[in-house]
Amino acid sequence: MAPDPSTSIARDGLRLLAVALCMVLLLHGTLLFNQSFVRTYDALIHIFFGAHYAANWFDPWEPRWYTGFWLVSYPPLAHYLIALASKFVGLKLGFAVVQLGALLLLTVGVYRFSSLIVPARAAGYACVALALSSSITETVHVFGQLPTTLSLAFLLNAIPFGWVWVRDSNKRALIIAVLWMAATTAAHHVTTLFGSVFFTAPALLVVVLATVRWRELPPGRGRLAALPIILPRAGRAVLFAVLTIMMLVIVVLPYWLWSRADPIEQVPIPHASRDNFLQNQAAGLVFWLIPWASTVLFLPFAWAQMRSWRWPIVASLSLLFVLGTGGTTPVPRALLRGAFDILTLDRFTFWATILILPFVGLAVESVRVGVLGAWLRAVLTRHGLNVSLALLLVFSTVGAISVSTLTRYRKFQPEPIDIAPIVNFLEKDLHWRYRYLTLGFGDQMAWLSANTRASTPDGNYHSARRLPELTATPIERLEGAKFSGTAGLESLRRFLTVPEKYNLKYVFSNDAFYDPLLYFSGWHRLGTLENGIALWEREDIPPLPERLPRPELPPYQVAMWGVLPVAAPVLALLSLLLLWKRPVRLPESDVNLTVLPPPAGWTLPPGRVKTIRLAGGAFLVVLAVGVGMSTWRTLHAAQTPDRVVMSYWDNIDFRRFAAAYTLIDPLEKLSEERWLLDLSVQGGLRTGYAKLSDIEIDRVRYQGKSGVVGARATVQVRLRWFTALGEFTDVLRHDLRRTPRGWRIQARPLLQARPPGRFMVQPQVAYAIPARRLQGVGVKAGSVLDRPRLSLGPVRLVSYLRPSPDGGAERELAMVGTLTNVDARPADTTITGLLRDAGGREIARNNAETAVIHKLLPGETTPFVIRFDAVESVVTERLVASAAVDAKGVVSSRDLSRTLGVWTEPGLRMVASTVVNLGTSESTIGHLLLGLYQGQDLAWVNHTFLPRSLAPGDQQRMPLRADLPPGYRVLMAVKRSVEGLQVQTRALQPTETFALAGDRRYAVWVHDFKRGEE
Amino acid sequence: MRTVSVLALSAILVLSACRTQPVEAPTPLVGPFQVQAREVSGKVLVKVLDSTRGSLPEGTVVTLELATPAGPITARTVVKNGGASLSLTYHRAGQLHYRVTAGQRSQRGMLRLEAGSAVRIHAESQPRAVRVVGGPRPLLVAQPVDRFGNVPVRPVRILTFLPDGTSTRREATPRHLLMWTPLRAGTGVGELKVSVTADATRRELVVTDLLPGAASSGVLEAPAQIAWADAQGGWRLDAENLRDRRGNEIVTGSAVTYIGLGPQDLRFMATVPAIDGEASLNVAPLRAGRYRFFLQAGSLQSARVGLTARPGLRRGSFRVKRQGRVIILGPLVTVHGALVDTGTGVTATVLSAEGRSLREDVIPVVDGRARYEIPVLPPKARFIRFALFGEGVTTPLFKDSR
Repeated sequence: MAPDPSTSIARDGLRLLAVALCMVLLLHGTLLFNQSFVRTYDALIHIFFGAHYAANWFDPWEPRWYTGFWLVSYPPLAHYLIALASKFVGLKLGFAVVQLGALLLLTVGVYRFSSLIVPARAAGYACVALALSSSITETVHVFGQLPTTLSLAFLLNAIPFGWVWVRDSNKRALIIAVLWMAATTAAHHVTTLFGSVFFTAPALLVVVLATVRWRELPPGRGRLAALPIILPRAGRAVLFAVLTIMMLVIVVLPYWLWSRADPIEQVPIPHASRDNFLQNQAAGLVFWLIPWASTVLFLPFAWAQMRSWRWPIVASLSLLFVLGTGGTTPVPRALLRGAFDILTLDRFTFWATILILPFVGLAVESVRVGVLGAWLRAVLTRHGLNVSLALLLVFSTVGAISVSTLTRYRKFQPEPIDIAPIVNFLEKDLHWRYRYLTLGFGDQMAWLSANTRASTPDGNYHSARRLPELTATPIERLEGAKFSGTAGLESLRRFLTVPEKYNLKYVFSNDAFYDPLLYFSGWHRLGTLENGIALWEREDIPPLPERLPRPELPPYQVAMWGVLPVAAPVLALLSLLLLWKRPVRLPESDVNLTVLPPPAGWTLPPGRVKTIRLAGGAFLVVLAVGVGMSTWRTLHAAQTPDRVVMSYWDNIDFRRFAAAYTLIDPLEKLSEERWLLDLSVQGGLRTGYAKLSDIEIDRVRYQGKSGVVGARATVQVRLRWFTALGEFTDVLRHDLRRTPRGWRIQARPLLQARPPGRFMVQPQVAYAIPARRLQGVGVKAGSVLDRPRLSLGPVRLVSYLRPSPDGGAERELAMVGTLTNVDARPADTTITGLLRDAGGREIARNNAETAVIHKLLPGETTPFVIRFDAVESVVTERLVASAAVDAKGVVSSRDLSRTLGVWTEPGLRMVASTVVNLGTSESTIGHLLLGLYQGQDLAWVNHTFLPRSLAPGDQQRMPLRADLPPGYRVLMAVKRSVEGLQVQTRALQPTETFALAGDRRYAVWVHDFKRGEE
Repeated sequence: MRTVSVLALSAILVLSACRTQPVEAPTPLVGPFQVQAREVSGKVLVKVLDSTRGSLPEGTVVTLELATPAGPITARTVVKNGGASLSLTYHRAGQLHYRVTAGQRSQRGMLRLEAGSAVRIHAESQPRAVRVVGGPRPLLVAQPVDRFGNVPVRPVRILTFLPDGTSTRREATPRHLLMWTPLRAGTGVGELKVSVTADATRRELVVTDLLPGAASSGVLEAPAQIAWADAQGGWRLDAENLRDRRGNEIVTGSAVTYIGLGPQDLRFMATVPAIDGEASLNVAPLRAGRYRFFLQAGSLQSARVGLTARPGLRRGSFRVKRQGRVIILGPLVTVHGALVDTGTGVTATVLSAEGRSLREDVIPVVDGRARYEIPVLPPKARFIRFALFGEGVTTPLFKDSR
C-alpha cells in the first residue's frame, strides 16, 4: 500500500521544522550567548528595564532616567522574563535566554501560521528561510529588538487557533487564541494592534472566504447563496476581534491609562527609516536592502499568488512592503498621516519579511515538485537549477552570518566600555547622590544605568521623557548630541549651562568632541578613569534630596502591572492543556494546499525559452554595466581640482590619512610621515574637536589647459566646521598641479619658528585644596562650602535682534555685566540671571554659559553675558517687569592658568587682535572676549574661540566684531541684591578700556583650554 | 465541578472579610487621680496616685503618652494598690508634653528636660580664609552637644590666638541650638586659631587663614627699555613689591594685568598670577615704535613705563628677486646680523591696482629667504606686499606688470 502523500508531507514539514530549530539554536544561540547584542541598538535598553524589574517587581517607577519615568509606558513581558532569568544567569545572559526562547517560539509560530496557507513541507521550508533570514538576523543582532520577536512569536502561534475557532466554532480554540493574543499584548501591544491588521485579519478573511466556491454556487440566487456560509464565520471572527481588543485593553491597562493621562509631547525625532532610501542610501541599505536581502527574490512569486485564494495575505504583504519603503514614496505618509512621524517604519518591512515566508516555502516546494521547478529547469537546465539553488542557499547562509556580525566590522556603537570604574566612582563617597551624564557611550549608557543607583537626566527611551528641554528638541539622546547637529548641541547646552537644576555634577566623556563645551561652560576635568573615560565635574551643585518626589499609581494598577503581563504567557501555555486529550485539528480541510505537479508532458516552447534567456542575459549585462559605471565614477571622481580638494578634506575629516596623502603633490621632499606630523602638531579646535559639516567650493582658477600635465589651478574652498562650541567657517586656498596621476594639491613641510622663550623657566601657581566628601547623615560643619567673596559690577538687561533659522530675526533678551573675585582665593563662579513678570513670577532663568571666564584668580574680573535663548518658554520684553542677577562661587584650584596675551588694533567695525602665547606650554583653544563699553558701563560682549592651537611663543591673528548686535537697546538696570555677595555701583577697579570709533571703548580678556590639563 | 469550587472559594473570601470584631469588656469608672512626673538620667518617670480612696480601681489600665516630634510614645500598666508607676526612655532636651490616661479620665502635663554636659563640639569658621585688609571678619559657629545630641544652653568659652602671639578670651551662649560670634582678625597675615571649650570637657581647634589684602602698591620696572622687533627678543616687565595697604605681600596667585599702549592704537593686555609679591612678563613688540606699559592689580595702577621697539630687520633686507613664477625675498637679516629664524612667517598679500587685498598667504622663511611661488591669481592681481615684523615692501607681481 502506497503511503498517504499528505502524511508524508506533514512528516517532512515537521522534520524541516526540527532542522530550522537546530539552525536557530546554532546560529542565533551561538551569537546570543557570545553577547553579540551588546553592540546593538536596543538590547541594553531592555536589559536596563529588566534590571529594574529584577530589583523592583511591583514598582513601575524608574527614577534613574529623565528625573524619573513610568515603566508602564512600555509592555513589560520581555523585561519581566529578563528579570526572572537574571536571577539564575545574570542580566546579559538572561537577555540571551529570553531572546533565544522568543526565536524558537517564533520558528514554531511561522510553521503553524504557514501551515494555514501552504503545505506542511512548504511551511517547513519557511521555517528554514526564517532561520537564515537576513531580516531576523538584523532585528536580533543589529537592532537588538526583543519585544518585537517575542510578541510576533505569540501572535503567529495564536492565529491558527483563531482560524480554527472561526472555521469550526471550537470554543477551546477560542480560549487558546485569546490567551495567546493576551501574551502578544503583554510582550508588545503594537504587534497586537498592527498584527491584527496585517496578520490576523487577512488570515481570518481567508478562512471566511476560502471555502466559498463562487462558481459552484446555485444559479439564480447569485452570491447571496454564500451568505449562510460566510456570515457565521464572519460573526465568529468579529467575536474573536472583540475579545482580542478586550485583552489588549486589560492586560496592559495601566499603559492605556498612562498614555491617556500623560500624552506624549515629544516633537518628532528623525528616524532614517522615514527617509527617502534613494537619497539616503545608507538608510536604504539598513532598513530595506538588508532585511529584504534573503527574500526579495521571492516577491514576484508571492505577488503572483494574488490571483489565488491567498490574496488577502498577499494584499497585506504588499501593503507592508509599501509602508516599509519609508519616505521613498509618498504612499506611507498619505496612509499613516500623523503617525508617519512617530512610527519607525522598519517594523513594517520586518513584518513583511515574515509574512512572505510562507510564499518562500511555497516557492521552494513548487521548485521541488511543481510548475515553477519545471519552468526553471526548462530555462536554466537541471544542472543550472541545482547550481542556482545551491548558490541561493550559500548566499542566504553567508548573508545571515554577515549581517549577524555587521556590528563587528561596521561600528554602530562605541567600543565596549568597562563600566566597573564608573560604577565604583559613583558608589564612592555618595557620588550617586548627584546626577551624572554620559557622552559618547552610545547605548552602553543603559548598561551603566542598569548597574548603578545613580541617575541621569538623559535616557534611552524617548517615549518616557517629560522634561521640556528634551521633548522640545528632536534629539535622541544627550549623550550623542553631536549626531543631531546644532539642535542636539543646543539641548545638551541647556543641561551643561544650568546643571544645578538637575543636580548634575558629573560627566563621563568618551568623546573629546565635547571637551571644549564642557570646559568653557565652567566644568573641569577631574581625571581619567582606569577605563579611559574622562571624568568632568561642575562645582557648587546641590545633591539630590534624600527622597525624590515621585508620583504614585493606584495599587490595583501596580498589582495588574506586576501580575497580568506575566500571567498572560503562563496562561497561554497552560491553555494548551485543553488540547491534552482532544487536540484541535488544524487547517487544510477547507482549501487545497497541495502543490500540483506540472501536467504530464508539459514543456516550455523553445522559442520562449530563448526569449527568457535573452531577457535574463540582457538584464545581467545592464546590471553589470551599471555597477561598472558606478565603480568607474567612484574611482575617477578625483579627476578635477574641486573634487580633489573635496575628497582631500573628506578623507581628513574621516581620518583616512593614507587616502588623503595620495592627493598631495609633495614639494620640498615632503614625506607622508612628515605630512602626518605636520597635521598632528596643528592642534586646536579645528583639527582636534571639530567635524566637517559642509565642504563648498567657492572658486576654481586654471592656468594652462586643464587636461595637460603641468597645468595649475587654485581652488578656494569654504569649510564649515561643526564643533561643540558652534559652527565656524574656514576659507582656504589650495594650489593644485596636474600630474600624470591627475590633479594633486601642492604641499610643503610645515615650518614654524620656535622662539627660545619657550625654554625659559616660568613660575606657576598650584593650589592644594583638599577634596570634600559629602556626609551621609546630616551635614557636618566641615562640609559647608567655602564661598569666596565676589563682587558684581553694574548689570543691564538688554534686548537685541538675533538671526532666526527662517532667515528673519527674532528679539532676544540678555544680561550683561562684570563679576570680580575680591577674595584672596581663586573662585569657581556661577552667574544666574532671573526675569520676573509683573506678578513677581519667575518667567526665565539661565546661567552665563561660554561668554564668561568661570574660574577667576583672586582679584580677577570677567565680563559676562547671560542669554535667555535656552529657556523653556519664549520671553518677550513686554513680559519682563523686573530682573535680578545672582552670582555665587566656591573656592577652586583648577583651570587657573593664564598664559595668553593679546595685542589689539581697533578698526571701524572690527578689532584686529593678535593672540600671543606667553607661556611655556601649548594653548589648545584660546578664548577671546571683547567687552564693548558705553561710557563707564559694559554694554555687550563679543567672544570667539581660536581655531588653531598656539605653541609657546606663537601668535595667531583673529578679528573680532566691535559693534553692538543689531536692534540693541537697554531695558533696565538689573537688581543685584544677593545674600553674601558684594554689589558695587561701579566696578572696584575700573577695567582699562581703549578707545573705539565714536565715544565707544573696548576692553579684552583672554584665557584658554589646555588639552590634557587636569 | 470547577465552577462550584470557584464559587465556594469566593464565598469563603467574602465571608471572612465580613467577620465581626471582638467586643471589649466595659472599663470600670475612674475618679480623680494625681500625677507626679520627673526626668532622671534620660528616663521619664510618672507615678499615678488615687486622690481619694478607691478613685483608681484595681486593674484599671493606665497609659502614659509622650508627645514627641517623631510621634507619640506610649507605655501602659495597670493599677495596683491604688497607684501605678510608668517609665519611658527619652533623651531629647527641651519641653516635653505628656498625657496620662486612666479609664475615662486623662491628665496632661509638661516636663522640661535639660541637656547634659557637653561631650563634643562642632566648630567651624566661615569663611576659612579672610583678607586682613578690606575683608569681612570671620565668623565662628560652634555647637556643643551632650552624649544624646542635645545642645546645652550654657556659656561657651572662646580663646583666640592671633598670628602676632596675642590672644583674647570671651564667652558666648548658644541660641537656637547654635553659638556664633564674629572673630577679630587683627592686621597680620598667618593663621587665626580658635579654641572652643564647653563644660570643660572637650576642646576643638578651628583655624582661619588670614591673608593679605588686595594690591595697593608696587612698582613696574623694565630692565631693558629698548627691544628690536625681530621675534627674538622683547621686553621683560617686572612687577615688584606688590603689597597691600598694610605692607603685606599680596597673596600668591592674585591677578596682575599688564596693559600696553603702542603706536597706531596698538594695545596689549595680559593677565598673569603674582608669585611672592612679584609678577614678570616677557613680551615681544609687534612692530617698531614707542610703547608705554603699566599694570593693574587690586586698587593699584602702576606708573607707566616708556619702552622703545626698533625695527628688527637690517635695512635692505626686503630685496626681491624673480625666477620665473617664483619671487624670492631676502636674505632677511636682523639688526643683530643674524638670519631670520627658519619657519618665521612672512605675510604675502596680493593686491589689485586699487590696493585691495585679493589673497593672503603666509610663507615660511628658510635659510633667511622667503620663496613665493606665484599661484593662479585673479586677473586683477597687480602687486604683492611682503610683511615681516611690522615692516614690509610692495612690489609688482610681474616684471611687465602684466
